[in-house]
Amino acid sequence: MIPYTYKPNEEVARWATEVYIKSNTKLGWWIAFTNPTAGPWKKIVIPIENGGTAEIYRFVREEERPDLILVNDKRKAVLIVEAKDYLGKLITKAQMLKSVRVIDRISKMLATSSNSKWAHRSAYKIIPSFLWMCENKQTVAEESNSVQKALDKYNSLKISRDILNIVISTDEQQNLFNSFLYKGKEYGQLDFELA
Amino acid sequence: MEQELNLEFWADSFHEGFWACEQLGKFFHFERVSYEKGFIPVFAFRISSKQSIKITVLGSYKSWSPLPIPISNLLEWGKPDLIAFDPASSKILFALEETAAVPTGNQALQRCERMYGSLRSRIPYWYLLGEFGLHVDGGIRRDSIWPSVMALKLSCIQRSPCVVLHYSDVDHPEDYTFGNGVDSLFRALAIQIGIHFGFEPQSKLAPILTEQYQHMINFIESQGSHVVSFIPKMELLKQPDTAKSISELVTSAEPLDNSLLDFFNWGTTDTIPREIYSRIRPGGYIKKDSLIVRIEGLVKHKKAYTLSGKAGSKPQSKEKINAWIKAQFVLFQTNRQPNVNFSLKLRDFPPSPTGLHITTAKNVFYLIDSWQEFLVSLKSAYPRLRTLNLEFTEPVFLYISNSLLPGRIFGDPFTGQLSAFSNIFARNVVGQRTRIAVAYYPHQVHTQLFDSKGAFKKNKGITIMRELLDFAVFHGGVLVNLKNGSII
Repeated sequence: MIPYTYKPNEEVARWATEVYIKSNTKLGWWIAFTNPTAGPWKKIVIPIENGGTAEIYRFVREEERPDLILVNDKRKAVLIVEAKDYLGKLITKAQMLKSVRVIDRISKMLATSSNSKWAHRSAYKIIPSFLWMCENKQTVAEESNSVQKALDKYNSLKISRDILNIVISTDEQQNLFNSFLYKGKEYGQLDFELA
Repeated sequence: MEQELNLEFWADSFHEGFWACEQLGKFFHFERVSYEKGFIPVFAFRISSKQSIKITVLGSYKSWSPLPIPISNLLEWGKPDLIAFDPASSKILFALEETAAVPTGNQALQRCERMYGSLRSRIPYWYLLGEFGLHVDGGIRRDSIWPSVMALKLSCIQRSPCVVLHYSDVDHPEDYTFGNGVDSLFRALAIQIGIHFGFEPQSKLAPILTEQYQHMINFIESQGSHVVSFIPKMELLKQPDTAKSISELVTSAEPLDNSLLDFFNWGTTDTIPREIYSRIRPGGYIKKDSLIVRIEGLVKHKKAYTLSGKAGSKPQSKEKINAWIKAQFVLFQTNRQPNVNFSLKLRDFPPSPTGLHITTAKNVFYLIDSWQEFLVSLKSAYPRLRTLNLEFTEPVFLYISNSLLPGRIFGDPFTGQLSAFSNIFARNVVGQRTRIAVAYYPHQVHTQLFDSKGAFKKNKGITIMRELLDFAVFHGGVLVNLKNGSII
């Protein structure tokens, strides 16, 4: 056991979902992009033979980026994820407008990409997704509704209203776990139909 | 009985710590990764039938409490991307910085304060960056020589490894999988971990450090002429045994003599090569400044020189400059020094097609032959200092930051520049002061350094200034002695 306590933040929240994806590969999801503070990860990539990756898009320095892009080839689906540590930051006007802008732009880029390694995925269903931490498990559904309302209010670019929310909660031992909410229903695993 | 060794990788993000563990898996036998509390990676490596290492990745420094004191102390000098920490001995094994892009211009020196922060505590430091980078204009850029020069000098001064490594090649810019840097880095780090825990001999690090120092020397040799007019004692650097000598110096427990490694010592004008001396010319300035005009005069009379005149100008909008002048004026109201006038005016900033210039000298620094010559220029530019009586025998290193935004000089990239250039130009390889280090901030007011009681405020920039500078000259010619806090 580590002798330190942690304070949840956006990095921890996003990483907790990445760990879930890495630990549940049987579900078929893989990480095409993640947006930590630094490092060689400022590219959207896809896995190729021999464990390598191929770049399909590179963000420039000041370009607005999502926080995660998750892809599932079995479900033919892409989640473009916007993350914040807490709900309050996610649903401000400025943040929601930025989220809508980013999701819209990346959706169009992926749908029209001429990259040969991505081309067969260009028709995948793109699902806007929001990720945050919620300390009180009882309020997850309520908070998820708040995100939906904020999106509806600021969705000037008319991205899909069918959002998938990822909520990170803690138990009494400070263990983190992911919950997924889609079309008003909560799931413990990311293994449901995305119709 | 099996021995489990414990190590913590503290990192700016989980990714960096995770990536470092994956890379170490090429040198240690990887057994498994598990996740404590559902998100904290714990890597298990087997060293032998009786020994294993457990590495716990703690991403995002600010998330954790309590921060171990050695880590907290190191972070005051800037955040390295990764710190390897042994909780049992409360010791930092090394710090690592890595960048995805090739830093150009000001950014090239951005991480140098972290390099200095580690080395001042003799914490081995490796800096991995791309040698070839893709610029937004589509062209290829190569890394600056200054981080490598600084790292070699700090290695000698502190007798501790300080290494700059490169990845990528000309056909694969900014690609970690090309070039030798990543492999070389983690080979060295695996050995460093092994030495710390006693399963590798101390002698094993020297050969790889020799390779790494040789890489740095080769890089400086190949790129130096693009950056500076000359590199003193380059012939000594190029000697076949120099990299090995530095490597031995930083790994030996014996007090080896390093005085023979007298490179990177840019001396007074009478010591520089004849052809370089003959080419000393004033570089000029963009925004006129009373002190810079006089220092340019010293260059004209070959009593000072610069190494390049490539400081670019990044014009700012009239609105921004106006707002920054007003903000400086507000800060100036706590001034208690006599005969100081606040004279920043919008009309003094010359126009450009895209805004107003704030750049004064076209150089980031000057190397001035004597303190007396500098003092005469300073008094002439700022008559309020005419009675100043300070005597030094050393020549002067004068660093210039034209920044106007309040507080900007306490952060990136200026603290990095200051760390790099003051170590490179104001100290020799044995750590002796060779020049009086002075910074000139013509657009910043001195009051920003002090609290209401007149004591130095505490921030990273002021810490670095106080440690590496002797004096700083602020707007209006206010001279601050960074060592004792006196304001003149």
